[in-house]
Amino acid sequence: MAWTIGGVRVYAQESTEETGQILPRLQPLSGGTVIQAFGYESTVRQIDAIIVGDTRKDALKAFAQDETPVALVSPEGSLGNVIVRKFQAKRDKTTCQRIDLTLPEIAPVYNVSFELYIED
Amino acid sequence: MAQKLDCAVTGTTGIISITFSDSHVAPTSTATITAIDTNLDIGDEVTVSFGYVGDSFLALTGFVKNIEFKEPEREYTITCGNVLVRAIDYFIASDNPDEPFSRQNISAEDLIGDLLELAGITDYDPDPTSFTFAINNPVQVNLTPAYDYIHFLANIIAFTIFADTDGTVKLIDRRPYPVVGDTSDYTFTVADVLEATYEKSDVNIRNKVIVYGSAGISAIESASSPYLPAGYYRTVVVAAPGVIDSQSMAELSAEYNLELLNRLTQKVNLSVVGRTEVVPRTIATVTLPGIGVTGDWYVYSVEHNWSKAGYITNLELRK
Repeated sequence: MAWTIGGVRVYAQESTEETGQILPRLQPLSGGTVIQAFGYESTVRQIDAIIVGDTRKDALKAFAQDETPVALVSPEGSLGNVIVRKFQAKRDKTTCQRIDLTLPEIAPVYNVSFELYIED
Repeated sequence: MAQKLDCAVTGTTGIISITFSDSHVAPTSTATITAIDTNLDIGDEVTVSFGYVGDSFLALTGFVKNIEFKEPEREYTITCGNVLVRAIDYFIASDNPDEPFSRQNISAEDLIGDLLELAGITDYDPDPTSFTFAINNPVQVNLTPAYDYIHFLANIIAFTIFADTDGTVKLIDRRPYPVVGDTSDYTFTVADVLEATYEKSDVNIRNKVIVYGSAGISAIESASSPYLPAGYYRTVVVAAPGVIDSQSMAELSAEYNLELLNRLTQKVNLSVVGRTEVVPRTIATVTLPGIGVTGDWYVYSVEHNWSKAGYITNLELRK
């Protein structure tokens, strides 16, 4: 299985995830700090990847303009549904690509990054 | 260990914040809830509870008064009032102007009970008042909101009317300061308090009370105040023609109100780590030597703020 976002093939280079609790801290006039817990922030995943072709780039860009969750799949299996909060693409200076042989060698190559909100 | 916050509001999920406020003089306690989703509608019965996991409390039993839905946040803001909002909203208007609501020779608590019943409030638990209204001529009530008239009656006898957190309306002889026999309900020390201020003021002192009753009935009570020049009086008038029609009731009202009003106002404002169960009309023992405040204080008003910024209770205490 390969990395896909919403069924669109990406070549993931780095994947990081972040979560955290919401812990208000209150300081009485005397004594230690009181810590309260207001739940936690769901996981935010950051993926840096390479993609090939404008069709895929445009499809991924569309995910970042639609709040509908899409499936995130890694080589190890499903990572759940995600909302693409942010998508960035930078075109590589390539004249010939051999990454995806299903596409022409002259297909553009992009370095992209995603910020993904994982649905609980 | 962190105290985990918890809350529950009827038919509402994804609760972001709750603000609950109530005071000795407020006609009704109110709760404002922001949330991601709700199936509540205007007029629905609602209960609001919050606090910590294992230590939350029922703050309000009442009705939904206002719902606002906001874009782009996609949040609901729901405003609720306790059962007394029914009396606030109920306008007494007789079908026949010649036959208004009237009662004669009736105790204050029963007259208030009958007015509450007009507004559909039957869960009512009054203390005995010793006051009898309209002994000789019937009192007529028309073209006024029910709560306004009830509040007017409660003021005549210097009693307090409110709805408790379960939705029962109470009429009690409760002065807004500690009195002999009070027992403490909570304790606050420097280990609980985030901020504190103390102030005293003569602004509310009234050392002369004049009661106007029906024709020929009136009463005056006055006393010197150690905070005002000798022989100087600040006067308040209780005008209750048609309600007070006996000299003894007029004198009793003057006496009760003078005792209530001829006082220096001492206030302590506290902001404390969120404390469940704290409601107005209770007694708090405070030990804050830094601002010279110790002893028992009357809980005059309370605001609970529950959100991701934490759970904080703000209190106004009086003596």
